[in-house]
Amino acid sequence: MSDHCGPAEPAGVAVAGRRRIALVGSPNSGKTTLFNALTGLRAKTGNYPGVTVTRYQGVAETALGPVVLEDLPGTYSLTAISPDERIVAGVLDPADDSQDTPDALILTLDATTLRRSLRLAAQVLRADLPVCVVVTFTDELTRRQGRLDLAALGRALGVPVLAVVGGRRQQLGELRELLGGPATWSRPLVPPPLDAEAVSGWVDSVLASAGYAAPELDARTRRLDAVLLHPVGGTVVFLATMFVFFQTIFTLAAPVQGLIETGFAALGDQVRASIGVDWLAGLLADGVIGGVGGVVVFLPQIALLFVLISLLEGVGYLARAAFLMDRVMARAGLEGRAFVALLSSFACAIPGIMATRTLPSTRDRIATMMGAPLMTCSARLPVYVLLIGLLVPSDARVGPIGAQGLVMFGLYLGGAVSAMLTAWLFSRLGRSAGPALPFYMEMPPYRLPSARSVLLAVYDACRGFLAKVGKIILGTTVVLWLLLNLPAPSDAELARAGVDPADSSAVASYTIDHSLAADVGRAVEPVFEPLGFDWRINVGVLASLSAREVFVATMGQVAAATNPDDPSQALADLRVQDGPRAGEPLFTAPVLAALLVFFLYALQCMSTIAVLRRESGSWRWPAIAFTYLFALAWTMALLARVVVGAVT
Amino acid sequence: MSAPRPPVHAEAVPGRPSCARWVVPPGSLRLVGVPERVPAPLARLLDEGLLVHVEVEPAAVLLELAPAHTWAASGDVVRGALQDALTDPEGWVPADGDDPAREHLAAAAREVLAGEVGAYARSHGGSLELVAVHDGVVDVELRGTCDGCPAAGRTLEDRVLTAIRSLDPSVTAVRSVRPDAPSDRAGGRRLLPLVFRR
Amino acid sequence: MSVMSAMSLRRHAAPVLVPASVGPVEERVATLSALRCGAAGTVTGVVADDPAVAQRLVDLGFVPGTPVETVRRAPLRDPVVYRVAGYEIALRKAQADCIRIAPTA
Repeated sequence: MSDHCGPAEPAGVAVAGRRRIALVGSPNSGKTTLFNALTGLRAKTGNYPGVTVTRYQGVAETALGPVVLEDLPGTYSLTAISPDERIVAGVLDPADDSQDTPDALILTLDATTLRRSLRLAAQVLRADLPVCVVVTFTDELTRRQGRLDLAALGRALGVPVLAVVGGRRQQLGELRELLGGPATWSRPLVPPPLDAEAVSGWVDSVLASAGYAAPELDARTRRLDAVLLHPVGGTVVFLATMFVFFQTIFTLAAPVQGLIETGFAALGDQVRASIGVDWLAGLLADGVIGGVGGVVVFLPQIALLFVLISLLEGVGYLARAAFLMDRVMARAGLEGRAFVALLSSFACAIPGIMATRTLPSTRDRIATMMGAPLMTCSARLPVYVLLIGLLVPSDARVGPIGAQGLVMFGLYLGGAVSAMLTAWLFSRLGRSAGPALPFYMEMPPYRLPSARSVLLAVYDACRGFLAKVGKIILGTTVVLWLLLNLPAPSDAELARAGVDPADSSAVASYTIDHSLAADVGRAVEPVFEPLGFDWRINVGVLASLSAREVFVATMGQVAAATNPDDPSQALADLRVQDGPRAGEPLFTAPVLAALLVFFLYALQCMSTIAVLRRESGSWRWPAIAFTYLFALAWTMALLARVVVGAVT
Repeated sequence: MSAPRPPVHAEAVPGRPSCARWVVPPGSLRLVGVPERVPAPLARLLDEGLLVHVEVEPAAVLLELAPAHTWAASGDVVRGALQDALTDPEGWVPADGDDPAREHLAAAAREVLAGEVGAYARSHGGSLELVAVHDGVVDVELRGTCDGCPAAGRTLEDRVLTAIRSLDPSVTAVRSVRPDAPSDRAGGRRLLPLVFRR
Repeated sequence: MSVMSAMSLRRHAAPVLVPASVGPVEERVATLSALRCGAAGTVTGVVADDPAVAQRLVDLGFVPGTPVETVRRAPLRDPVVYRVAGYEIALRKAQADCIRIAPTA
């Protein structure tokens, strides 16, 4: 299941010989902020062996040289009930051989929720490892009239305790000093108790000794929640927020993406013009530059999505949105937090799948990832526009509504419903592997996230996407280019076929018709025959594996051979070349319907497959998704063809 | 549901690794020093040789483990025994029956004056001395620059009172006495109510 | 082991707390999910089919003896935000049903 061999060795971080210190703490305790502040931009993401849990490691400078810092998944308890928590429990247990035990731990405790956080501290302090406690949000504690004596807390816990607020430089300096020598840290003389009620007594006693006064209710949070969680007002604000959220990803990124596409196209033309060798120019311009462009074009969306998500999460609104949507998402076996991921997938499944990182449960994460590719992404739009144009006349109306728009709406709705059903199915299937996780979600006070943490989240997402996903997309683009363009026809061959070598679109069309891809298209004809696809559509479908919108270009090239002035009309005029339907129009209503439905379901997107691989940690889930969605696409397309055939 | 066990936690004692200072709820014990007798759960551990020494401090119990044992291994057993023993305050019999409650309050006051509050006074060039303890009232003498310092008085007394109360809730008042004022150390009857020089 | 019985039908019942019977003993037990919005209680115990779930709810602060308060219901009535151990947490009904409480007058 994992592609790691041997012990957990994260890519890029030299672990050998360096001290390892792990960060442990509950979600929202400022753990990741501290990790980012200590490691800066030198963090690497990977996966824990055998599980779909992302592993964050980085190098932190200390008084005695660099140490490897590991940001463990946030957990409320070491009694694990989810795979993420099992990782934490495994890492902290020296007897557990599946995970390397670090040399020391940093435990982050939120000063405003100390009564709860100390229960985790009780468990962590029982681990036979040096622990140092970093108390966070002490500024908020003071603002909300709370009190805490850090020195007394240190005496009561028996370990070094210091406060670090939002990565302040001086406090970080003290921490770096401390991190230099975990061997010198004081250890608790008597480990805290284990039994739940005894822990309560221990927590009470420690809090009393530390002169802890719990913070008052946050007035700001209470005022905001009164509006943002109001049954009516809150729903309105939520819908407005999600509308702006979606519009931002969808429309704000589009012009930038257009610029990137234009830029890469211009670069490709430049390369084509300056390189004399046709095939090399084609490979470089269409294969490599096109491939790189195909990767980079997603960056604006990913960056925007992560700006918005880390803002919403950092502010604390994501928990509120999830709270409002939870009941709706529960129908699909998911929880409220999956909503944002699915909504983002309307723009593109890639940021959508990356957004599943906010889900605490691995099962929900997988189920959401499986559903996300079904949401109608922006890459489907040009395909839908082309096919709907062929299927429905532009002046056709159903009542006052244009029929084209209605079909488009139907496809969006079909995608959303299918996504929810798929998520429900995979959530169900996952359930058989064990009982469902209980649902609980902390509602943190509203806080202003630091620009630094937002930028780091964006940077991390973009870099991860380019590094891991980019390679896969680039590779497949080049391979697809080769398939579609080899073997390159000689001038003699073109002359024999009556193609003018000077007419580039005719040459392109001829090349595709006689390419390896065409051979594959013909070879898979029996598979797609029931759907009414001929080999030319198959080539288009095959080519669209790199990205869906490529279908439009490929069909354009195929059609351009017959009527270069009006490819759309040429497409409509295409006839079936052989077989029992020879001579009939190729794009009949049933075939078009089948094709539309096929595009609704099929996972024709290498980028999505690549990002699934990255986010789930193995090839297993992308393989399952591809197979499942292909089978679904084929079946539903057949159904569409039969139904539409019966109606028309 | 049985009565909840009193909340406790252990702190290290500098230089004495076999000793743990168990912080107990203030007011749960009204004696200090080495008790004559302790309740059965703790007495059993002494008999068994797990513990070698029990000493009561204000809002804390000092327990010393026999050399062969470690707190990591025996901590849970000792904690349970201590908590059970704390539910039976009558079972703690002081060694000499003078006035254990007063001695407890005096010890609490001494601890406070030697601690952070005292350090605060010393940092301002003054000092606080315990004069007398009687009927829940602690008399403190302000010396050095404290004496006559307008910042002394109410604030300092409040700080001392709060700190002592966290160790012994039986304290009712802290009063400052002038250094030259005659004081009755035994009974502490004659004390000035809050007088400060201007 | 489960106290998740007969709670859902009586969500709109007039009393602050809806009693449920547990086991053969006709002991009257109230759970957190029956607590009205704005009402407070004290946790008396956590009972779930899966001991790990009960343990987690305790780890989240629902410890016997701890005061708890219902803060806000979602527009579709579920989940509900509770205040416990100095912070706010949203639970679905299934989890709130696991938490037994004694009402505060």
